[in-house]
Amino acid sequence: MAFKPIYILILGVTILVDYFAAFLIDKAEGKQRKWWLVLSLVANIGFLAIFKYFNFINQNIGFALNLVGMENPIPNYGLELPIGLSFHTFQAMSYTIEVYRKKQKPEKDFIVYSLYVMFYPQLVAGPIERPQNLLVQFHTYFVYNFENIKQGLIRIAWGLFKKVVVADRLAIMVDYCYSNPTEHSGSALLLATVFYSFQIYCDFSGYSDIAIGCARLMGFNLMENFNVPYISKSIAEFWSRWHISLSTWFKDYLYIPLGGNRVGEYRLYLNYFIVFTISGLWHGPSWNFIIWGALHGTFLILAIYWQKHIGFKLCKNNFNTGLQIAFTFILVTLSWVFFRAQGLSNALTILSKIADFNSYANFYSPLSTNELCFSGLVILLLMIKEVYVPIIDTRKTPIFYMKFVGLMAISYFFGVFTSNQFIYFQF
Amino acid sequence: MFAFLWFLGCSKDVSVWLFEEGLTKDDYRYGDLYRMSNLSQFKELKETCQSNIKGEKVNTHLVLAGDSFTEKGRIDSSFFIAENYNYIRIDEQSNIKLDTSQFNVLIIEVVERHFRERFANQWSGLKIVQDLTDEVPELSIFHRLVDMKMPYSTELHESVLFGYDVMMKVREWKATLNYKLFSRVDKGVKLNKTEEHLLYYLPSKPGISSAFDAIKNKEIEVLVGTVNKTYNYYKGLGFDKVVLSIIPNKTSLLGKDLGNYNKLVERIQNNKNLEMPMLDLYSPFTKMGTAAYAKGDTHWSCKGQAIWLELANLALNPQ
Repeated sequence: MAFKPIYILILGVTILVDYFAAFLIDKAEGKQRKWWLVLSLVANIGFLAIFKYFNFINQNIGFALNLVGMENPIPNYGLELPIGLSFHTFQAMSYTIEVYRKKQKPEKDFIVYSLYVMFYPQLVAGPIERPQNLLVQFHTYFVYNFENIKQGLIRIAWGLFKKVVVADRLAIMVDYCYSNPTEHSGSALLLATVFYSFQIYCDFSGYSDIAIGCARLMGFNLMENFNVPYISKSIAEFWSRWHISLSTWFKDYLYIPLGGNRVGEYRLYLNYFIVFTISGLWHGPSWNFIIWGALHGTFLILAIYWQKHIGFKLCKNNFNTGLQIAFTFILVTLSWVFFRAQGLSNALTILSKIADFNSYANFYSPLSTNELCFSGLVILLLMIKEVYVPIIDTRKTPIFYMKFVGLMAISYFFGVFTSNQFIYFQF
Repeated sequence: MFAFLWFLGCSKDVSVWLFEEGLTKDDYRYGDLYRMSNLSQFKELKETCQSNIKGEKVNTHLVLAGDSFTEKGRIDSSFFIAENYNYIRIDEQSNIKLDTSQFNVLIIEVVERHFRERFANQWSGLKIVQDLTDEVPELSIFHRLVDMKMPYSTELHESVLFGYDVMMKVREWKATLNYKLFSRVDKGVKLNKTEEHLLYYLPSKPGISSAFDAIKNKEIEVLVGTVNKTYNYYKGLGFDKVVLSIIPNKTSLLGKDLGNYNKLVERIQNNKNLEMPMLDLYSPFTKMGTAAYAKGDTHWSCKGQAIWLELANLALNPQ
């Protein structure tokens, strides 16, 4: 992933193509509408294919050819992934699709449309917005509102806290164990894996908080991207709470066109499998991500099959709710192993060591005991806050200042300031 | 105000100008290790070393190919008995013109942790030319004002915004809190077991070698071979004397309790096949111990520097 000024041309081309495509789609009738949409989607997906997936596809073709004794004549090339490509192409595609579906009128103002694609708070890593939410706001005349400033700042401070106090601290243990899993005990790898669940959550939701806060400072409301995903009682619920902008994008623009749930049982399973596998692939050109996505699809299919054919349900009480949350958390955490591990073989090594209790001796952590306890405490407080105080109250200004300065001070004094960029920037 | 300061920090030229005008402070003034760790017990203002060279200079042209130990600001021509002095960066390509009427001496100075990188192949950072012309292309005004690099480095901004004593105090509080609660220091530093010494401690990475990397004898022989090639090459180009100086890492001498020291300096210095003369800094520095190095810095103290200068000046005498 790279920030190279010349890559602004890619942004420029996709903006121009989609801006004009929207008008052509709107004016056309019948099949012609579809063709203009396809042109727009091909342009967007084309850039993704070239910059993100070409080498991966080429390597796999090479591997397949080698199996039959042939060489791949096409070399890989060293183009770096332009920063934010996966996010802004999806946002641009949602615009032309909504125009095609006649749910959005084409935006006449080129500058406003460009701003929709390039809006800086969410350009790099989302949330992936819909035109019905964001475009309309660019036509609104905003009056200065100190509440927006307060809410924006507190959101940014909370996001910063999650990133530097929690995510980057947990990353020390995760990076240490995952860089060479064969050298570490099963217990260390298990703890690192659990830590990774919270690292990636705090890292990505922290970024989203900062993005939403930055937009709010200017009076814009971006969509929420997370809703306490680790209290989910099922995989289906997890995906309604995790990276909401992406999961709803895939639901609206892939799952529903495939037929959604208005198909037969086995076609439904296939649809879920396709959507989740492609969602995994969206994260990166690697079999690890594909497997991660496919795993989630499989979990969901199994859950639906269970519900349909076995039908055993736990009675509703706190204990059973806790069991469901724990079970879902375990499934999600174990699947994160594929997301984080360097290569398939490392992922399998980690899982096998976690499953082998004989390898649990000789636990070693680069974090001291105090720091491990601190990490646990901060995770607990974080989860309590996210569940019981989803929005920090900023109505009373002096209290707001205390909270803001307090959060910033805690972030500074307890923050781990390494060169760790946000995880989702690489996608 | 902060946006303006941020912009000022984007340009190295502007940052240097701000420092020269006294508007910002040198945030390395307490040492590079202190700057990384911000541990107050290692805070000591860096000394400005004075030259004690008296008397006439000798008819020697000294070319010193060195690193941060001998850079401008630490050492200049007043510290040497040579009449003619040129300093070049050991990690850059430079041109020098030799005057055959003088006694030409080349001293190659390199810190221990970079030695293996520098001498993986024959060192040839110095080119002898007949005519010195300044070929440095001038950057445009825009580039000089904003010589931003991607990925973006925050170091200039840290210097401009946070180099003041007040900010350093706040950084010390953070460092102390994290050290007392979590035994955590900056990942680039380490305290020895007795916590008396602050050391530069890195696992092996390209270009920088840990003092605790295992080095096989075979590699030592290869390194000595490339040192010899370098020696013969520059002797052939007209230098009357070519001398090597390896500055021992502070970690190698004061942090031996952190691991199994590979004794790189001794093994090179005492190798029977070594042809290039060396300045033996290892023995006097071992005897001096802590006093050889600045408290919060990886570099030598004035006392350590004086020992090196004494050895270097001995090598400059044509007789």
